Amino acid sequence: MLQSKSFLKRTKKGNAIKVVQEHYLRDDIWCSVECCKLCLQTGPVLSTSAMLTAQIPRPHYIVPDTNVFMNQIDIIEHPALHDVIIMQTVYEEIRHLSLPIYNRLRALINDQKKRFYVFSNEHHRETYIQRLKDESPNDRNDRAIRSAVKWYSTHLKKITNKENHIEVVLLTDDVGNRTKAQEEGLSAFSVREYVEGMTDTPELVDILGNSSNVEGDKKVPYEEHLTTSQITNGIKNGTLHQGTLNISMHNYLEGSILSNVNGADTQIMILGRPCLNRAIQGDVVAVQLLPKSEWLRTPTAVVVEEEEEANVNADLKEDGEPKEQNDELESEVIESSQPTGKIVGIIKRNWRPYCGFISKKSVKSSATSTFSENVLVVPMDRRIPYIYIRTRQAQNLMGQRILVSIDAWPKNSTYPQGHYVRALGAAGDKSTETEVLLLEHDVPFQEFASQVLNGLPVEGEAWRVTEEHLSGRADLRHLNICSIDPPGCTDIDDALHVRPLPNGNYEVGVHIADVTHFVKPFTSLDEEAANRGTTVYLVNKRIDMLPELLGSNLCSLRCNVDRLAFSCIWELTSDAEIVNVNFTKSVISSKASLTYEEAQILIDDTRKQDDLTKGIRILNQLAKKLHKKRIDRGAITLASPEVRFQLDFDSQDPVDVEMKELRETNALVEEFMLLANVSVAEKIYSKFPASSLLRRHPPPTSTKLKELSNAIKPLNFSIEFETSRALAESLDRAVLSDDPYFNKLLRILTTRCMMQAVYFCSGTLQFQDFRHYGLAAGIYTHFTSPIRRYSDVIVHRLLDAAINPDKNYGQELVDINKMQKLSDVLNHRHRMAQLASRSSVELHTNIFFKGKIEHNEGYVTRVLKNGFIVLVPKYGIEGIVYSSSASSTTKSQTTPLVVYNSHNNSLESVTPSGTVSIKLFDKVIVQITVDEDLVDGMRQKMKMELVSPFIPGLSVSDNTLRKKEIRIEDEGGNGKRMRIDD
Amino acid sequence: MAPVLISALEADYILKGIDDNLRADGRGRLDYREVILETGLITQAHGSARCRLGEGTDVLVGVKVDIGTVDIDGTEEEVATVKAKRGRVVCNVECSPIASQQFAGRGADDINNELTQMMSRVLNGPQGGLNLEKLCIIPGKACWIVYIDALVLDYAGNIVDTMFMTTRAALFNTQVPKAIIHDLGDGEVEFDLSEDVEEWERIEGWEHVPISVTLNKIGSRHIVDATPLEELTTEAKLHVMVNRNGKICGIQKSGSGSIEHSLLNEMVQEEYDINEKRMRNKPVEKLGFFAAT
Repeated sequence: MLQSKSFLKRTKKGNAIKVVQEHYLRDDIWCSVECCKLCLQTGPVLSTSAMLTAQIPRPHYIVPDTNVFMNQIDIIEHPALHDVIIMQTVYEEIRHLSLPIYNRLRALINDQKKRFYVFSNEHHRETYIQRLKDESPNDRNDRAIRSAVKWYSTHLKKITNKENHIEVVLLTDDVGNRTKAQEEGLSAFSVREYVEGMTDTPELVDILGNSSNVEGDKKVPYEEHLTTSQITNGIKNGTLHQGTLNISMHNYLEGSILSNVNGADTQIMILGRPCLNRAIQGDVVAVQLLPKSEWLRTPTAVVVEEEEEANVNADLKEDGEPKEQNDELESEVIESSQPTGKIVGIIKRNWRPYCGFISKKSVKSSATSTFSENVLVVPMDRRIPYIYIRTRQAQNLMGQRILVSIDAWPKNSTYPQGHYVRALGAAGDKSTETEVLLLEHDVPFQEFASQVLNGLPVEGEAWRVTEEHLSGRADLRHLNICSIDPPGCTDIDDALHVRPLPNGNYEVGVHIADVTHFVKPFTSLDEEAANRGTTVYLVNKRIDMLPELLGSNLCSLRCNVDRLAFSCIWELTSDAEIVNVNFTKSVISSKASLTYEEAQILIDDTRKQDDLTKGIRILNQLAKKLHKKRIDRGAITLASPEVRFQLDFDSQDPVDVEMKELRETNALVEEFMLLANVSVAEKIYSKFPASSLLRRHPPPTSTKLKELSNAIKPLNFSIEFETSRALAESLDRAVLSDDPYFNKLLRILTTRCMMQAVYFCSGTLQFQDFRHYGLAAGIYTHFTSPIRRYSDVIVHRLLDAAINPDKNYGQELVDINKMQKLSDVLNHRHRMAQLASRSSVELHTNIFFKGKIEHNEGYVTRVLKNGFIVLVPKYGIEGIVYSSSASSTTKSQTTPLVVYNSHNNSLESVTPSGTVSIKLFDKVIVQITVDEDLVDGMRQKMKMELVSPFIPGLSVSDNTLRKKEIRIEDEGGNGKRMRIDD
Repeated sequence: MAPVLISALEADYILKGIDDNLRADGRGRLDYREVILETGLITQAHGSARCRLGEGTDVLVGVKVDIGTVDIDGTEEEVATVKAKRGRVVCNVECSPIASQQFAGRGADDINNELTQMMSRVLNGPQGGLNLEKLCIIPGKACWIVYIDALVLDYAGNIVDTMFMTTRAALFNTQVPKAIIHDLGDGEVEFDLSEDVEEWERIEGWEHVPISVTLNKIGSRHIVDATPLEELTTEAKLHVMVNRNGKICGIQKSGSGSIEHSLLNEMVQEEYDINEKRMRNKPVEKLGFFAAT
């Protein structure tokens, strides 16, 4: 049977195209019920042991409609729900409405335990219906679903007898649809009715989407959002600006977007709840600029957590508008004001499930209560507003980390409304907190799926290099190759060798694990690796990009076994000039896996004179020359306050913190890796000028560096940043003889002014924009760590195609769009991985400081209006010291203790012994504690309080320190050296 | 165009026949061949029609409507204000090389241009019948553009008449999507299109689209609906477009010969009468599916 349907499609350019489709109806679409004898299916999905609930004590299949999936996907995902029929009508509607939900649904369909069956009702001769005249598409689809349910219902009657009868149940929250279904004799329920009938799993009621059952508190009168067409029009004619909302880490009521205003990329600030207008971190929003008189002036204030907490209380007591920023509006406009705007519409929501905890104060019920109540969830991510959820297990969930989803944010509600998804575990527990930070950073951390593992070599651990691998590969097993890595490293990506040539030059080889031999394009293994993008290193855990068999064994260039490698071999003069370079796939056998320390000992131990040791010494000499050349070109030595934890072997709790130590041998390996990356980048770019995956580092924006330069002016230093070379030299000059840490601190702060290095596809940019600023290289890529970075896997494939002219390669290597999309994903994953490991360090720092009170020397790295940020070099940690916090007794005082002086960007305080000022780079002493009780004790937070210089009312007084018997010697001398030892 | 020759003897035979009001196929001077008209045969188009004249001439017309911008650049202000409120008709005629060897190679360019011009002149304006104001979506910004593509599939004389008949039928068959206008305030207007095919509408004024009658002057007499051989003996042609209200919507002469003033008047009158007759009471027989093949 043939049906044809036509509809109109509009292209991006605005053209209208009439599309006509032919639609063939079939009668060979089966019901997929296990016991059905009428249908000729193979491998039925739906089981006879279908759903049974207290309310419907007969086995039944569930047919949810589109909105049930859209609003209640978390319920659908719950293991208690199984044997579900998804109508094709529903399936296609979901695909158009929301891709994330569609993907989750796909995952459910693939999950054999859930037994989800997609029934192609639109192609079935008996269930297909045509739209009636004056029937809206939605009504038609509802009718199509009902028609299919009806078919199932009669079909099931045919195939089952009285004893084993199975029913179908339509789930819909649409009252009209439900009534119509019941009129047609079908059983239909709303999700709430159905879930409440599932008495075995009471927690499901909590997971119910919260879209309509909470009335707003009407305290913040949000403005109505504009319609989509108004927004598109506004953006087109320049009255509105589009951008991704980014909320400040220090102030959850301060956001900004980066957008093009009058031809220049401008940061537009958005301040306060009414202006943020229900937008959440990451949403794509439309912003309208405010009149110039209302623009913001620097600096920004941090929102003190206590204040934040007070606001919540105030909100709960229905007090009214929080007052964080009133004082700002009073002061006069100065020239450097920043464009400020308000959000008038949301173009794309970017909601995800958020980890958080229930605010104790919002729970009113008693410990035994099982009534559902509205509580506030405080997300772990400070940039996300609190979320209302409705739960009956509030008492149970207190003290736990939970996952919640946002359903809606009505305009009469201060906070968005969401629902509980699942509990993650007790707060403060290391594994819970680790899961939280992985979830929060969108790190895919589940075990590898079986289909991914199926892509591994069948031999498993017993895989060996055989004769057939040798074809097309150079046999380099006779060379003295060794690898140098951090201790405990199992994923050895790279190994090196050197040998003198008869003409006095050296042959230097960098051998990289040949991951692409195992990871072929378009396999599940490849897709999984591309999705993970990078291996994530946490303090106590490593989330691998590749399954362990490959990463730690078959690819890893371990010593004394034959391994496949991709080699980059140069001829270098004794001055480390490249004579030529050669790339080849190879087979190697590493002679030694050294740690940095072992290699260093070999270099220093003059008694050792074997070939391997001699080789390492030559490499070391060459590396030093390479390094010097790089520095001469203007490469910048950057710094980060990284630390390393020593973990207790059993509990994995941190027992000590140490600075990461850098040895000569670190630099040795690094130099050759940089050299290999540059050589490979040049090679692949020569063959694939449009589709090479490269890495660039844009030059820093001058404004931030200018600020830094101004701050060190009193010390008679300056920062030049016209070229990377000038910057490197000015950094080298800035050395304080009495404070060796000053230079490092300056480098740390300079690093923060830098842009992020990013992957990109060579076809999307001009050649002059390829530069890697930090490394002072004209072209750069990542080639040397394919085990832990997916970018390197792609570069390996590109290089392989570049050196073998006869080799066939996939179209994916020359598709610019795909390559750019891939690099966007990799950049995101890379960034998230960095943030996740940083969070992991923070978590362990907190564990380390638990129950400790320490006094440490720190440096002021940023001065804010109501506080300053201190970096403690010993632990590499940073924290805010609030100068006008509500926690001290100063709340009632009329004159603030500390005044921000915008003239020289410092905080000043008049004390009995003279004026104390705190400015950038000042050395201070702070007391570090982990404050457990802050905000219900659920967000562990490092707390720093000022010890010296002493400011009465702000600094922690001697009283609290009596036990430790610490005396502050010099209350005013902030420039002097102070040391307090515990 | 490759010169197609006719022998003097043949030309003389045709001329004499016409003098006696008996043409080679048995028709009189003012008799048409049978017309078979079919509509709606291209589903992807917004409207379409195919017309076969006698056993030979075969023209297929497809109508596509699309959103376009109003083209008012470089026109005077007065004209621009009128134009801003109107849609447009864009015509294109193509003679397929399979229809006749005259249309092979680049030979078809001249005739294609001539026919395209003729169609555009007649249809783009009040004489064309279509209500162009109704095709305006947002004045000065967006309008419907009606693309009329005529394809001559086979040639047995009298392309012009066939073409106009087919076009009229195709426009009758055309459905235009409905535009839903949203007022955004501040004089800003945006529109959406209804995806629902049921809500689409005919172009207003399709019934006023004229059709043409072509008279071929052969010797001192004139005939309608000439065959290819007759066209070769034709000294001059006169096309007259008349709409259903009996209004003349266009006159065009083609061919190298001249027409005397008295004959011109007579021919116009004659054509007008024929057209009137055709428009009003033409015997119509419904042939059903696949009739034209």
